[in-house]
Amino acid sequence: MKKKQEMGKTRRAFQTILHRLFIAAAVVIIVALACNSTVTVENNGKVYRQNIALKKQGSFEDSTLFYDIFREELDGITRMVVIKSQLETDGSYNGAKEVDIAQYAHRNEEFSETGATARYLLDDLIKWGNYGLVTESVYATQAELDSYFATGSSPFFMQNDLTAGDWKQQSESTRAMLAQSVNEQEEETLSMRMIAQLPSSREEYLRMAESLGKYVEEDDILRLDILVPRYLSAEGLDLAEYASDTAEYVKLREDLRITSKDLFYNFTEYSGQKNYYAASATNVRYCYRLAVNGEICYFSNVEGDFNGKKIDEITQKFSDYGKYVYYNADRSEIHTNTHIGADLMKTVIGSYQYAFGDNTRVWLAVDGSYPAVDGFSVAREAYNRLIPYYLYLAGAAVIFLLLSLLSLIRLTRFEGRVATQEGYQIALRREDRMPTEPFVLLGALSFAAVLAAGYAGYSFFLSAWEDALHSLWLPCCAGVLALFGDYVFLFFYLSLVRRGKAHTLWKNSLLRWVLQRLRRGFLSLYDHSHILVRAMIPFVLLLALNLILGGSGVFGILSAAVMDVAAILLLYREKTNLGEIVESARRIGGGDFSLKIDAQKMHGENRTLADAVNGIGDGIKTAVEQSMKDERLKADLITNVSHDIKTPLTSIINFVNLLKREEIQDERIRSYIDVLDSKSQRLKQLTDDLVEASKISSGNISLQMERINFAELVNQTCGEFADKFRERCLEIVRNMPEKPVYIEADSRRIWRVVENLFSNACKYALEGTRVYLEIRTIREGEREFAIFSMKNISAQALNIPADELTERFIRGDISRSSEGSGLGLSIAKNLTELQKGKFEIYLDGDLFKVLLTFPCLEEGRESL
Amino acid sequence: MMNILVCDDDREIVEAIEIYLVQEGYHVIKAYDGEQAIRALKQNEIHLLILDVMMPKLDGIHATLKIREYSSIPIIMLSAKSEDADKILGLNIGADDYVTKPFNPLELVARVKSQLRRYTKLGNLNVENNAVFRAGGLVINDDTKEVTVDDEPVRLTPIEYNILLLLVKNQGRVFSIDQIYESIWEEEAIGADNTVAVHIRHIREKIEINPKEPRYLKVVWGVGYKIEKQD
Repeated sequence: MKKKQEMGKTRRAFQTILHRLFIAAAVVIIVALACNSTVTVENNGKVYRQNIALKKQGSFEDSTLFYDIFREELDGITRMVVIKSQLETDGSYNGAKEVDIAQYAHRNEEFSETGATARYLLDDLIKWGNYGLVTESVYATQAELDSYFATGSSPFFMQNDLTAGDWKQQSESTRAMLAQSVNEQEEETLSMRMIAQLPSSREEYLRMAESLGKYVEEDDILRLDILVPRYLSAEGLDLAEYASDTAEYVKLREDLRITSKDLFYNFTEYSGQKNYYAASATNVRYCYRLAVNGEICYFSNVEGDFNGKKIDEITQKFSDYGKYVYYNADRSEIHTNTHIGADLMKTVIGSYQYAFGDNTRVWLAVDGSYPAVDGFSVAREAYNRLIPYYLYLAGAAVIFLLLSLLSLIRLTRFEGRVATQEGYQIALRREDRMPTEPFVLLGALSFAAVLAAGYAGYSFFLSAWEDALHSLWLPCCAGVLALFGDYVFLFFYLSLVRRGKAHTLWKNSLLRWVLQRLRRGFLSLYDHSHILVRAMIPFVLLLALNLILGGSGVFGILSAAVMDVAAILLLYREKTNLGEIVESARRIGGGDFSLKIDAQKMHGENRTLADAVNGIGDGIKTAVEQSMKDERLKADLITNVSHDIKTPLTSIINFVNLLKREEIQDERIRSYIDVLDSKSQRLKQLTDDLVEASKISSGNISLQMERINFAELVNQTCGEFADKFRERCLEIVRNMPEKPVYIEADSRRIWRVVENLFSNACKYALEGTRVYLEIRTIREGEREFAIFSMKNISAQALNIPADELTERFIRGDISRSSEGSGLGLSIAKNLTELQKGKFEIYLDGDLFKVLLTFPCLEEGRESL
Repeated sequence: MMNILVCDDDREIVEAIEIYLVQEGYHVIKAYDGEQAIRALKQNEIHLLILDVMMPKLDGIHATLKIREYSSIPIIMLSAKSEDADKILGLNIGADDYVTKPFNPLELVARVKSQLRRYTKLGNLNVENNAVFRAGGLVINDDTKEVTVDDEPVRLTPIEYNILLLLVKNQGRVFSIDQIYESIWEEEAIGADNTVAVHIRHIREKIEINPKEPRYLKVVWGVGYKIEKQD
């Protein structure tokens, strides 16, 4: 059964809709997958995304998402534990805790130098960190400063009366502080004393030294920033008291600065996120065992006292939650049912090495029932919403894509076909007539517009609706957009398919149009310019370009080579055309008048030349045809006229004959009748000859060539004419070869030739003379020729050129009066030439000589 | 009394032919176109028909075709068309002879006689004798050395007789001059002159109505002579 070659309108519409639906379905699924494959988790203030789609994963707890969140949580918890260990005592904040500032400031250094230190209360330090440390600059020599730290006073500036000091130089807050300390404290601090006593600028120092009669090198004056002692240490001392010299003071002051700043930072974090890892807020359960100030402490968000519990018991308790980790920091040993490794634990714990001393143990677990809403539960929800169906959906998307591809192939195959009786043909639509490039551009723009609309819609969705990414609306809208996009796509694509099938893709393109215009313009320029210009300008241009390009590097030489090859090809084409013209001209000259040169493909002078040669050929052809036609018309005319003459002539001859049979006694009347008889006979002969001559000269006869013995023919003719010759007393002298001489000829026509010659001789030869007949053969190169010659003495003087004898109606003037039509020689000559022979007449005085030359047939060959 | 129907659109020609035929003792019925001829043929007992080719109403060719549907009487065609093709056409469609205008009236009469003799005597041929040779209307009785053409006796010289006998005995075969010479004179033909050719010419003049268009002794130019094999 013959398959249908085309697709009906309904089927096409159905197929199109099917394709759109498939595409839309695939897009819905793909968009849904893409949106949901990224899980955005807000955890501990951080927003981060996990791409979970492309990895093969089992349950949520085994996923990398779980791992990543766990790791993040581990970091946070560890840090929180460290802070807690710094700020808490027995699970709650303890402001009265004493902090060794040197130890704290250098907690990250593995080997801390033992030196001067001071212990402050935690509360004081945090407050100090909050309000900031205030310093005042004093100027003194090294020795003077050292003396202050060593002895509490300077030998040069003994002004114990603080109230009498010059305070003008100090800031307002320091003045208030000093005033307060003067008022509240019985004992003034060393720092305050130094601030009060030492000059606050280099110039003042120099003034004071001058007034004291002391000379100090300006380079020896040092500047020292003294901390205003807002808080005293746990022992109630000023920071300066702990220093034994200037260097120690600077170190202590810096330690205090770092400690207060770090503790304040930790405190803010602690107070802000203290409850973040509370059992109700997170699904993570943790327990850290570490030594704080040599005492084993447990930090945990799990209810219960861990003190005194065995490690195994605690591990058991955590493993009950589900996923758990137990880490022994001393041995870097890990027990877990998660993907967390010892390396990770070591890295995380190691970054707080100062907090985790010996005997550090860590337990972590994630509550499998996920009671709290946190990163885990959010991620788990997102994960479980999609992952189990992920493969099915992906498979469905692939199937839909394949189906749409299938329907696209079917559409492509049948597109544009319209049923006809023989099968089908390609039909174009209105939009297919638009030039290709703008059409493709329009298609690309339309498609881009659809995509842009999609993107804009997507952005709008995301900004307008918080959980847009995970809602079903986004894929649905994408699907609708895909329907529309596919409409646009199919519209343009199928048009291109139709164009391709109808071969108008290139034909209808702007580029082709432009190229053709250029080509046509160039050719017309070429065709209409002078021949010299045409030859010289391209040559000069080529030469110049070659010179320029040849001197400009490899690329130039290459392009020059390409150009030269193109020029050679053009030249080749030109010369080929010329050769064609020359060959055609040669053949036309040889007689093939109907030959035509295809001038359409040529240009310039070749075109002109070809047209001219064609014109010449046409002219000759027309002329030859016209002359042939004229000749035939003449022959027809003569034939018809002679028919019309013959009928009355018949009556004349018949009645003349009847007259002759009457027994008329009157001699005169009988002589009249004789004249009538002979003239009517002559008229008869004349009409017959006329018809024959015109036929022969127009070539309007058919020849039946056969093998003829020329000698036999002449002998036969001699026999026929023997009586007539004898009547005129003509003696025949024959010179015949003994062997037969075979030629190829039409036997009746050649007889006519010889008969004409004989009757000619019979009529015009001088009575009583001899007629010489001869046949001989001569060899000319390859061919052998038979030559028959007939010589006789004319009765009348032959006063005309020989060749005129063979012209129709021309005879020797005087012989006109005798019998015969005058066509005999003309007929003989034409017949001879039709049979490929040669007919020559020579006149020498009264000698009349005819030569007939025919090519011989070779012995043994029947015919040529 | 033989009835001859003469048909030509030229009344003078018909009249002239009538005079000649009446002189020979025939009864002539005249017609001036093909249709008249066919009517006359049906109304009278006609023994021979002389028919022009180019005539009004019904031309000779079509008239002949019609007549040949029911009659086999001799038809001599008369025409100004002298081409070979015209002659062949006329003879092929059923004419027994073809005479071109302008014709010699005596020749026409001779042809009429010949056709009538053949037509009327062909049926009752003499019992064949071994010594009698025939070629159409040409009969040679070798016992009596008599030669007749359409029952008209012909006088031939002994050499002419021998040549004719040779050719009639081998009807259709072409003899060259040398072959004829050698078989008649029984000597080798060295430098044979035109003797044979002259004799042949004489024979033709005696047995043929028109020696230029021979019916029996044909010249094959450049090859030789033969007696055409007759039906």
